[in-house]
Amino acid sequence: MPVLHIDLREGFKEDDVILYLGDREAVRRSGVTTDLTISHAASLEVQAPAGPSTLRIEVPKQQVSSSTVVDPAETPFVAIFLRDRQISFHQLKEAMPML
Amino acid sequence: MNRADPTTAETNFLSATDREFSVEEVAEIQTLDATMAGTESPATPGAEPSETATTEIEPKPHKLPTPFPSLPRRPVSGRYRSGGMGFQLELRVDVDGRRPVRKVSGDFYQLSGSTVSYFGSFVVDAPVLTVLPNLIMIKGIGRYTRSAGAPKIRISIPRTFVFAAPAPATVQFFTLTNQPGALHVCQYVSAYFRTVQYELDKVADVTTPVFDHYNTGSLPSGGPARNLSVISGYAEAGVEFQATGRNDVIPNLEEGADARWNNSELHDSMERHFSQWRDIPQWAVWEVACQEHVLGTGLYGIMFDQQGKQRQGCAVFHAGIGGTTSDKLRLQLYTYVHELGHCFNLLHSWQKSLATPPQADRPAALSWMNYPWLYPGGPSAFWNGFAFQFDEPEIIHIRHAFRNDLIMGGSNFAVGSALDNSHPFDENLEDNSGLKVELSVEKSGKSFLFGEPVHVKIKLTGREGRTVHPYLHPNFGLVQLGICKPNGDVLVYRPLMDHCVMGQAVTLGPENPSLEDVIYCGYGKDGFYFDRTGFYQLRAIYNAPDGSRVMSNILHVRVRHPVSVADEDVADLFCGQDQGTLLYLEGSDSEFLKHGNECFDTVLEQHADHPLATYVRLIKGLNMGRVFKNIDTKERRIYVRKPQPEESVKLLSRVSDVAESIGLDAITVDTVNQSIADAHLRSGNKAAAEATQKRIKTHAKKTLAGAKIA
Repeated sequence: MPVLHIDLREGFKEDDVILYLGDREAVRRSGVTTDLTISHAASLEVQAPAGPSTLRIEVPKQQVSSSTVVDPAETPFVAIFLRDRQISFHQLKEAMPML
Repeated sequence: MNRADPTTAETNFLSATDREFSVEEVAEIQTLDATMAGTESPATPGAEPSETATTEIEPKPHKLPTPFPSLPRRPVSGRYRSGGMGFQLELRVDVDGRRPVRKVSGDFYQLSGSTVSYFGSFVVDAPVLTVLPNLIMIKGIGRYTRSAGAPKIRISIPRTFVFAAPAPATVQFFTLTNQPGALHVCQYVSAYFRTVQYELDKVADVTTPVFDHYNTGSLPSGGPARNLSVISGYAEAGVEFQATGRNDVIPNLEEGADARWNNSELHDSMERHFSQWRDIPQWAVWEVACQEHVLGTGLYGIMFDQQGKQRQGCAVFHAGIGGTTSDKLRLQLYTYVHELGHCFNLLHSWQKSLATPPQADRPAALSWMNYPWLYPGGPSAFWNGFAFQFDEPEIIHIRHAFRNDLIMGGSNFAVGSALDNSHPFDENLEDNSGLKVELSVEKSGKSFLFGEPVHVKIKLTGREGRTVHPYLHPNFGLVQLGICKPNGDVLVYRPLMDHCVMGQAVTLGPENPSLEDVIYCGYGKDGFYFDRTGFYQLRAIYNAPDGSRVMSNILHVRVRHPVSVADEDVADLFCGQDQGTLLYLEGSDSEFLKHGNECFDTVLEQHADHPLATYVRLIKGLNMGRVFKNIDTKERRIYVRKPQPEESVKLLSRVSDVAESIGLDAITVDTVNQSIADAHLRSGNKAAAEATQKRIKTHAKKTLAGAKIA
């Protein structure tokens, strides 16, 4: 099974984060907080089904959630930003650098 | 090759890096700005200059060339500094030259005796520029870190030719009603607004060359082609980086067995290798080139220093950025400068709203602090438009932010408040007083139970022959004690009563090697100072007779959570205005403190074996050993309660027995034993008095004989 690399980047502060791939919960983390100096909160790797599937993120404390279709074969890296209660997904062939 | 949009704010005309602007040009732009904004220039304070002013700069008719070209004038922008005693002013004038941002700012330093400390900062956000043939005048109202009685400013700088020495700047402050305030004459120091000591080290296992310079014309970019290094990049921003000359090669073993760095290892390495390392605010920064961080090759750099005095060091990782191709060199320049930008307390361009106070996010900024990968249009668009510079708000911050919001080791990262951020308890910049003040506690682990009276020992030592005063307790007003609470609030301990003294001098030497006292600082005019559990910091300032303000060490203490029901009950019985007053007074018969005494009686009745009961016995025992006079105003009589020596001995003996186990300080133990001895003497038990006297370690005197208290 292909691996999807997920970077939680901006906008997290002591948050619980739940990620779903397809119809199953893929990973859950608590106490997720962004390090402002590198705009990075956590790096996660999840087993993904072959082909396109729906990636959904929920951040209960901030009452936000969003989803996007991902295809690990094309873009195995996803960087997720949360700004002004809006979630944006950046799907990339390589990990988005941090600095 | 400039492909940026000329209509956007990103390409402010003054942002061009390849030319200098004369003060006439800047003044003309200021006039045009004011016209376009539909506003007049703000009213200016103070007397009008005697020379003919040319504030309205209009296009001049074409003239035939004169036989001799006009000689160029030296720019007036840069850094100036006043001398003398009292307050010194470091002034930054930014109205011409390279990328002027039309601001004036300054930092005040206080010279007290042999000590120099930072006092505060100001900035004039909208100065009005008056250009005369031989003089520049700048006027405006400042924004200060402390309240200012004379907030208006007028700066006069004679214009000199480029071949002449720069002229000093005369700074006159005015009240809001235009009464003259302080005057400072500031000598020119530098064309740079800041000077920072810069040290670049590398780790032995870095496989690619450490970055030196990059020619920005090697690949498409938004600015003029030039060779840029870290040092010249910051020079363009108005900051002089002075290389310390030390370039350590750090052994691989410091990064741990996994051959990758974590932030703790980086901080430890900084303390070992940074030749300028001190845990104080200072204009010095360390950068280290490493191979890889534990977060992997995707981490190009990090400002890792987020503990203690922050922002003093950063790291770059060559696993992600190393190489010699143009794109790699470009990436290295960008990363090295970017991380140092965090040391200057700059956030990423899209997260400026997370600063304290918040600013507007600028996700489309062509700045060192943006990510090419997040720029609208992606990395190609970013690099094509990027001129290798900071954007204007960042330039303003770097040149004109309040000192503590910028200096390495100052405010924490992302805290750049424009609010009052005075730090009276900051380390002195210089201390030639020859004195040393130490705070300490003898409690195990430097921790106190919740509700336990906090006693702190203060000790003064110094050079032989140094003249000092002996009034170490804040009661006398010559020592201030600052208390930083767990939430960061800093309070100055204010004792309940001020004591006025005649003034006495002591010469330190073999007979008086040191002076000591103990300060009960748990309760004062502001109530209880240790009113929550957590970690506290304490620092004292000793005001010496010559005016020196001598800082003590920072004492860290902890107030622990109650563990048992008894702890909770006793803490409740200790908390109250009456109780705080009784602890400060070391006991009292006063009927107005009756409730407090009743609470303390309850402690002795119901919690006799609790550690805090010792403090009740202490103050009651001391009180019983004294005379207490009550004035009855109705009967116009004074009632004297005589000392109760037996009761006093009974209470204080139990204190003496457990003093060591509860960590009571030596001075208080001596006080207890002296009181016991006095009580035995009153009872006629001379032998017991002498035996008790022998237990007194009078190596330090609490107050000197002969000190008069008015």
